[in-house]
Amino acid sequence: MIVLSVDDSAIIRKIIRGAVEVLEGTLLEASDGEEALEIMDKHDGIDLILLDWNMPGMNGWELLNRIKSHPVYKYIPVMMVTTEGERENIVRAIRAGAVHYLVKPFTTEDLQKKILECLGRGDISSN
Amino acid sequence: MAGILVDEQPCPVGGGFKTTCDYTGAMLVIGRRTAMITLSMSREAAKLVVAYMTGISPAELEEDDLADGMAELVNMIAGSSKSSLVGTDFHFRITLPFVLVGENQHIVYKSKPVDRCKHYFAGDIEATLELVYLEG
Repeated sequence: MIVLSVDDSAIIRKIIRGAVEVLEGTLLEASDGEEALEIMDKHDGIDLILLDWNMPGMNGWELLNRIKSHPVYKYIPVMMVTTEGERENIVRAIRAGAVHYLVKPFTTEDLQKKILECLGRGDISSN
Repeated sequence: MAGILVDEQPCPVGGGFKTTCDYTGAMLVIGRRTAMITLSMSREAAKLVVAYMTGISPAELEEDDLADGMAELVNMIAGSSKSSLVGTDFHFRITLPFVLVGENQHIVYKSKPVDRCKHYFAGDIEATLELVYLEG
């Protein structure tokens, strides 16, 4: 399992890395949308993208639209990782093709459960 | 994620009160009024809070981790406030968070006292949350 975390917060990426490693997965990390696109160009087989909403440069919304309009990347499931204040954007993101969302603050268990759900190893349910 | 139960109390009233700290996470709140939310604490407190938040041992946390953790905390606090006001007339935008780092620093506001201020306590952790309107 290869997961790409796109988040400008290194500490959040660290938390996500810990959760993914427990699931015996590999985490690729990008701190903004441009870096994420570079990583996606270089790596085949990304199974899931965890995407922060509020980032400098290309934000999560712009990147989500770039991914979902790409002939290859559009098939990679995207889970939005947002703060409570961006909750209103979740509907917009789901309509644009995101498959799930996780609201910060979250527990490692929540994160792992939702990663598995996005990968078809659990039931997707709203939170 | 932070996983800490805290007690709270209002900050002392009066012009002489200053919050001295080593880390201040901050965000601007832009709506009908412009304000800044800050969360301030000592380096030791920041280490404990970020350690709770990440599950990483305090000894393994680097300076960048502390600043990043403080930014994320204030982001969550401001985000939560924003969410609680959805559907009201008090809709606002928030900026990206930023962090002020420096030993025993405090913020001097030009024209106004702090509008809202609370102290939070949990064991050795002490933190101050402030909201200040920035208009003249």
